[in-house]
Amino acid sequence: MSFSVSEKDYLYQSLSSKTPIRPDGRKSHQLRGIEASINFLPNSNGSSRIRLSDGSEVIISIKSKVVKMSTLADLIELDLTIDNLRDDLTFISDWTNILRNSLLRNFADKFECLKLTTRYYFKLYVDVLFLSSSSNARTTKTDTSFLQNPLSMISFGIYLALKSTRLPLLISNSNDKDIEELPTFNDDWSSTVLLYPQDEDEEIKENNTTSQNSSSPPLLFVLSVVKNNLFIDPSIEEQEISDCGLVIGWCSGKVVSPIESLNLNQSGSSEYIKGMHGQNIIEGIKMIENVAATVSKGLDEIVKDGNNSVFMDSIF
Amino acid sequence: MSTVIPKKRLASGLTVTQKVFVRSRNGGATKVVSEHYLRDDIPCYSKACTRCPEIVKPDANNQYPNFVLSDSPVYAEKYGHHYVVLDTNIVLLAIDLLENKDAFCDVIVPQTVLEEVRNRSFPIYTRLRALCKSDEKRFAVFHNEFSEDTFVSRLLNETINDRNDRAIRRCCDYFQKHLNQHRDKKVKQINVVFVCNDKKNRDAAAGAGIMADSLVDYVTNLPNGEDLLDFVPNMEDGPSFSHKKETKFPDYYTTARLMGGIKNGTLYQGSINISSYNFLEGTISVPSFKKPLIIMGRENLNRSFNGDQVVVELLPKSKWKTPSNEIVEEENMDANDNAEDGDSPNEIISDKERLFLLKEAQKASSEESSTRIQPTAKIVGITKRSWRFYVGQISENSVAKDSRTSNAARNCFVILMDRSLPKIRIRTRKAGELLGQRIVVAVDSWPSTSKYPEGHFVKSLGAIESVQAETEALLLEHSVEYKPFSKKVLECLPKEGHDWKVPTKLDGDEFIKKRKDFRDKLVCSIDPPGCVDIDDALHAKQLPDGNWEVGVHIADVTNFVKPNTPLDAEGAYRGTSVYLVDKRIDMLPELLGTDLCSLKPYVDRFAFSVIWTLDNDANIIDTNFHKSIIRSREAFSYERAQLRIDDASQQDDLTKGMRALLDLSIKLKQQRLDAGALNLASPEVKVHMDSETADPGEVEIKKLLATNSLVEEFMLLANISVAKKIYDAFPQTAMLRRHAAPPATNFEVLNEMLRVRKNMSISLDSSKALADSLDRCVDPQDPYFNTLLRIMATRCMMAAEYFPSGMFSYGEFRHYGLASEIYTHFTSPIRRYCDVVAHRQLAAAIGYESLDFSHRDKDKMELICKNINKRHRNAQFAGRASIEYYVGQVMKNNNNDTQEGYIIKVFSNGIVVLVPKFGIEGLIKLEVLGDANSAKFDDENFSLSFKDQNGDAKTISVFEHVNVQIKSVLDPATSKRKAQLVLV
Repeated sequence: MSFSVSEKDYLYQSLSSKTPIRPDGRKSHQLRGIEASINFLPNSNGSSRIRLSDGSEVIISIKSKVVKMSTLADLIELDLTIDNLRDDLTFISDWTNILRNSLLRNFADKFECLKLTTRYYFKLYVDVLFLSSSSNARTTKTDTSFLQNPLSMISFGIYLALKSTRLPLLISNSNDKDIEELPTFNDDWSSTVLLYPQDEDEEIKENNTTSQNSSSPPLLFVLSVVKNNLFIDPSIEEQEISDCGLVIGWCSGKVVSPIESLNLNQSGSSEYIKGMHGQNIIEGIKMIENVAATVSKGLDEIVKDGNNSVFMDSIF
Repeated sequence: MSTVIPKKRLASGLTVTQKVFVRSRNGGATKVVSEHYLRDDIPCYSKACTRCPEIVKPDANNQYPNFVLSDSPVYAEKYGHHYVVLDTNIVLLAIDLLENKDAFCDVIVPQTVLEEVRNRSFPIYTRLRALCKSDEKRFAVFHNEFSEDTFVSRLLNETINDRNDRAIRRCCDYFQKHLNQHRDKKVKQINVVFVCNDKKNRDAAAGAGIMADSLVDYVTNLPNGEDLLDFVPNMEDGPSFSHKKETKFPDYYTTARLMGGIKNGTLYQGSINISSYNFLEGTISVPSFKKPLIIMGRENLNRSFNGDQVVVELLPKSKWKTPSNEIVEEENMDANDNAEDGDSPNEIISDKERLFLLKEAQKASSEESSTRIQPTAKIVGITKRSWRFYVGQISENSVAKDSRTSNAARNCFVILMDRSLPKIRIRTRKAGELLGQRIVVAVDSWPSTSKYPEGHFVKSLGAIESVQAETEALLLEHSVEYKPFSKKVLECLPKEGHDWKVPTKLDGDEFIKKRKDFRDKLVCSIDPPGCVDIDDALHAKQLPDGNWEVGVHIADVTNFVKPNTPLDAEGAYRGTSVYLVDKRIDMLPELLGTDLCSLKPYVDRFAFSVIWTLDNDANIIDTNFHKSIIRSREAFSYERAQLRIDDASQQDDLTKGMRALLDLSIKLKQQRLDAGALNLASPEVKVHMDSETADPGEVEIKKLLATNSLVEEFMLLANISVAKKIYDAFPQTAMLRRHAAPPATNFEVLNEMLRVRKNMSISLDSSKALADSLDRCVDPQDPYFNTLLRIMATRCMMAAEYFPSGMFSYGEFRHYGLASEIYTHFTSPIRRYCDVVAHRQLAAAIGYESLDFSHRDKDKMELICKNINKRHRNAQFAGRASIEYYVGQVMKNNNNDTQEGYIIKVFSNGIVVLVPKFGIEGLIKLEVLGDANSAKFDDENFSLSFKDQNGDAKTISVFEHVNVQIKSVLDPATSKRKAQLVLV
């Protein structure tokens, strides 16, 4: 997928016009359809898989381990693997940090769920594998051409995986402040508890958005900025010619950090990178506020449906 | 969200399903998913079945399974002809009953039960496995977990126990339906009876139309039920003990708490050792403390048995104490307890105990003894019970006179021979009959509300004091395997039997070719009189250059005992031969021990020879090891050898060789003593048996002749030479023996006694210093004092132990007592398994044959060593107990002797006296000595003042020489014949 200068120019023109036309015909606040499933890795505490129609795919596995407490920030470890690329590439560690920090910052009350006793916590290992549509075209372990920004897709995956994560049930005393006990657990997998308990009365609370989303993992949305226009979930073509990228987090019914600019063009050609206005950010936040609740509701449907693979059409 | 477990058919007859569970180990929690395969061709093993023989498939060895279940099983009115399906609780509690020949034939053991039993108790599992293997009892294991028809998956929120119970019930149901459907129509109806002691499970079974009964009810309904009822163990369900809540022991901590505590160092784990003088005091050695922790009182001991693996917690400092100076015997403490009901309710500790504890506490807080205060602890968990079969007898007090003839089942106490163990409550119909008999009991449980552990009768050994019952009792008490060798073991012996000969052709196979022919050497053996298992022989010859060629020839047992044979397994299990006064329990079958391996005179025998070249000062110039063939010229007894050496008229080469050996051995001994070898003493006695009646005649202290030490010195030399060689060849797994230096704390009390009473001391700086200081401790007034001190010093020593060389660093190999850097046992392979291993390793080291894997693997070697250490210890105890019994019998015949004795221990309410002539020690209680109230115990000076029977004031202290009258009395509590000592 390599565009000639005129093709790129054409794309830029159509996206930057007052009534922009996206190459795949989406509205500017419309996401691409995904196919998602959860709990497909039998050995993980929680897992998810998301596929896009262009063939890219993200697989998340979440495993837990009992650890002695040190600091809360140590309780989540995230490992990101992209295709067969080397893991010491700058942008991979950048992305890892964005994902991990958004989890840590928005996990606040959830650390309580990981707490076993006064001394012991569950530590979560989030393993992310992203297979891009262009992985076959790569020649070396450092060749990053045509790599689309996967942050949004990965955050959806983590959202699903965390919501499907089950933790073993502690049966020993949870207060071991004075007398230390080695944690012991119920050996029955069906007695495990969900990290994010599913609300039985979801139907009733459906209208009350804040309450419903009160305990959900954070989501990240990637926007591409072309002049004054913003496009949610940009495709690889749109990313190639964006002035700039913007990532906005959303959690528990409101926009949260990170709100950061991004370089969406991994090919390295910097001719289109231009930066953005402050107005872009405000508009971006507005757009996310309109869209995010629907996305999280859609993802919750997948979780409720359990193991079945669900094809989410471009309803967003 | 329930976890729906998918099933997937792989092929016809094979289905796969998934098991998902949480593995919680060492505080972790891992999700484990495993695939589980189900098949449809698992047979029912019933001879009555017409279908299963058709579908059954051969195993990997192309063997078809054996259909063991009879087509006409036992008939009972209530159940008809029936098979029994066992529940786990039945196997765990009533394995003895299952092994009974008169009941429980045609039994189905579901795999679920087998696995549960394995997880709960490995010894019982092996016994159950043995039952299933032997055909006579017709036990069949049905692999219900792998059968498509009987596999059940765990339901939501179902505990694993409930799931297993359901699986077993499903198994019963399957068998009943299967038999109804596929039974050969010529055969009578066969029912399936589920025997289970869990009422809930039985009710559920009954609900599903399965015939289910408790063990007691089932046995009662059998035609021969009456006779069997006594063997039914005590259990929660069924006619259990109707006793009130007698007491309340503290509950054990949860496993989580125990593991957490051990991990963070607030709880300690170890094996408890209960004092034989005071059943309410135990000690536990924990690496974290220099001195052992003391555990005092019934509540703190918290239902532990001597030898249990326990977890303890320290008590607050205010409760720390000095070790008790009092003798406390259970019989005196609880003499009035009635087995049928408990004592006064709601009482945790009896007042007597409380007073005793109070006294202890006061003493601990008193200033002058504060230096001796030791930390105390309480038991908060038991990780491994040491429960085995125990020998004892029914306490007469606990069986009411009027009920002795009645046949009703009733509770009574069994007093065990081991005084450090509590009495056990059993329920029997035959209490009257069993009075006055040595009986074997098993312990079932010790509920926290019961003052005594609960058990059941296993078998009777015969009348108390009969030789046969007492011998069997002491073998059982020391877990010595005394059953005859099994057929499989005997099959490993040479087919020629006693006619086996060393081959005449020496160019036969490669192994014969590797042997050296030493038949021209003038070899002889020197052993105790009447010795038939001769495992060593010697020769010496002067070389032309004036040096000496000395050979030690050891019976070549490993030529017959090959690794990985049943014979080898049996030897490894027994570990050692056990020598009792009137009996020998062999490690290897008699054919080998007393004939084929035994280095008998005048015949050719295979041997393993160590040949040294020694100079005139007995320094080793050269050492060689050979597999060989020898012909012993003569088998001497120590006395005869001594006579021959002393007889100047004997000038033949054999005698000259023996003189040279004696000469060299004296030099070797001097070298050893110079290096710091210890000369310790134990009051060893020998009982002379009247050969006609097998009644013990008299007791004498073992005499040592120069020829004893001749043999001993060369055996030590051989052992050391072999140890060096095998350590060179196998630095990680060489079978060695070490003797650790005793920690100074062991000698503290003895040294304090010496300082106070005799103004002497023992130095512990090195074994040399210890040996020298022992030599210095001589009391001119009392020639026996030095020997007494050596006896007491021996008791402060560490026990020597076998170990694979990889377990310690070279510096720790040291044998303290022998003052040798490295040591092993090589010279008695007929009666010690260590020597067998050493032989194999040496044979491999000299390239004679390759070494079996089990002797090259560190873990396997550690297991072997652990076992032979235990067996070795038990054999020693059994031997001593046997002597004690016979000494008691001798006393019976010559009563009221007055003998010399020495006080070796002083308690506040009694003394312990050792009588060297008989090698016995006995306790004299204060009440017997004189007026108990006037007694004053001075623990600083180890002395006790009291007014004797005549009202005269008397003070006696440790090391003092006393005259005692020895009476042989039957201890009313243990029915052990004991020497009762009375001060004269």
